[in-house]
Amino acid sequence: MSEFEKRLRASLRRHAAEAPDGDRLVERILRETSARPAPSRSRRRREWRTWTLPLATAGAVAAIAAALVGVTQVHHSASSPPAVQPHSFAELTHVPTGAPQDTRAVPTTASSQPTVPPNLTNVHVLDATFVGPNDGWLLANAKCLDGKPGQCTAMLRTTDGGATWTSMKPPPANVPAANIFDAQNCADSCVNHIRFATSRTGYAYGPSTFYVTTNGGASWTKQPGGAVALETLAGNVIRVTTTQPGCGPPGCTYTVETSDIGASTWTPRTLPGAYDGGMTVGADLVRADQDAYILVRANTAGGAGSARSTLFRSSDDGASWHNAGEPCPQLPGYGEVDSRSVAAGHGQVGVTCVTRQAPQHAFAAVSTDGGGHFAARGKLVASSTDLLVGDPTTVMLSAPASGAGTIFRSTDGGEQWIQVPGVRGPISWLGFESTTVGRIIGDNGRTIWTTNDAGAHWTPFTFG
Amino acid sequence: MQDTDAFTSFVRENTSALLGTAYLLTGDAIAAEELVQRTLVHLYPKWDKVVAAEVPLAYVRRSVANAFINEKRSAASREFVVDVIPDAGVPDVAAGRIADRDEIWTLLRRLPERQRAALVLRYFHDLPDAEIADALHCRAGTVRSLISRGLSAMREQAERADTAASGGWS
Repeated sequence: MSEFEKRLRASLRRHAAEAPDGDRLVERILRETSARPAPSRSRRRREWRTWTLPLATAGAVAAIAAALVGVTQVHHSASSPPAVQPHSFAELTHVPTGAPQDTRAVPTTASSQPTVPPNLTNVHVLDATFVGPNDGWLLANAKCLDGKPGQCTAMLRTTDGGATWTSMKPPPANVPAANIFDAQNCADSCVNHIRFATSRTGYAYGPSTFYVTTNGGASWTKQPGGAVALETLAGNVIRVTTTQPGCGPPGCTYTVETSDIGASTWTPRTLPGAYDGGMTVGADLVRADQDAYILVRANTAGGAGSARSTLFRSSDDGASWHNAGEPCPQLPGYGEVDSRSVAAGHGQVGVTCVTRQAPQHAFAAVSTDGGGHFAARGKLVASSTDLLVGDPTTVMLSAPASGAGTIFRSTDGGEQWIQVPGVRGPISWLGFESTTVGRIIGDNGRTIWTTNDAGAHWTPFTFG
Repeated sequence: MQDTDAFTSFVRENTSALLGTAYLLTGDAIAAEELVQRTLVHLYPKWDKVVAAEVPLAYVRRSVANAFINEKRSAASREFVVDVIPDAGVPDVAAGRIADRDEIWTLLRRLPERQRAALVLRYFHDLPDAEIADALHCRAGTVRSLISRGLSAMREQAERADTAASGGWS
């Protein structure tokens, strides 16, 4: 691409952001169409047929279950055999309140009557995704409901911000039996992450497996390849892939691809330069506005040579990338300092930094110039740091001390840290959807905490 | 989901993104809103076709681009396409040389609609030739030609503007 074309692309991005926000237009359009005859129903009939056929089949092959947990209704559909092996998938036989609304068209027949919610046990949440303060999904595993041993795939949906969860049809794939880090133990069809771009279009993926839904999860289409990280924003999707699941020595090689939301074609993008040391152990992807950051993490555990992480940044929604090297400031007396996680928002990007000589110590470093220069913030935290997400002025650290897990919160960019009470580890996921709304998956995946005030208070929801 | 509900949900979720595309095509906020509104209202009675598309947003986006082309085509007399950027005229350092970030935008808005639409779909949405051709109702070869001619025109006009600006100030 020529320099002129790059300037054109950048100009288009800038000016698209100047477009009206559309709130008033939405109401105008809905007002105008509300006075017109309803659209045709041919599509609705087609969805009715595709939903009921698997229902009849499912009734013959699997038991269906759901449960009441506390005051919150939780439905679950599970399948067999255990999640680490290929298996058939059962459909819901009730009409879930939070499931795709297509299911409302299911007629009242003997094969599709709602059933008594059976008991749901041993739920472990693997990943969470939200497209707004209310609409969210969880990928999980749970005890198989047909009596077979092991854990089976489950997916849960909320439309009230996480106050209640309802099960829905899961993607036709296995999930890790324990947590998201067990993906390497999965069979080929294993997924360990989920992301929704809209209420209809979403992705379920693992290192070598990739599924897309464009109808709210009513059906999933398998695409080639897989992903270790994926984020959607502003109409496009960026995913990080590798052909070496597990990342044993000498580490993984990562590639980046972009696509329109829900599309089946992906465009490869180039990550320039090399990774220092080559001992990569994982890659994180975060996005904010047109900016995207990929942190290729290196192994700090040992070896004589350096194993620095590498931060890549893009300011055009992933079309082109710049190698920014190791973002963490190197502290005198601490030897090598490596970045462990990355977060971005509101014009800032932050990383957590771990010292090689004292890996139990970590600190935050924040850039206000798009990742050009990082300055250390605050004091060392007396625990190894695993995750950092959200607006870097409100920094959250998950410190899995001896597997117990602890969350720290800073509201001054990392100068002072306060332990968040009540959150139980191990922590497997911590994410913010905005500067105020965030989630924590902890308690070994059994509980999801939600905050609506930038982490000051957290409300738990514990699954059965 | 009833198609009315599907339509409402789609409008709430995607109007903002469609406005971005429409704004790049029209270069005007009000015109962009009108373009998106007309397109969605036009599609509403046959929303089942949108829902059945592989990517509903892409389907509607193509309709927006197509509506833009057709509207301009039917009202061509209203469009005043400037082939050559007017001379800088009297030097005005304050207003002066068009800033780089706005120069590209200015040049793009002066292209014929089909060239502009092809460039927006390629460089903003990263669509391949075939999908742009589908949106503009033409062949892939025509898309390549539209993009090539559009880029060439913008480069030439930028060079003329550079020459005029430097000449006026020296």
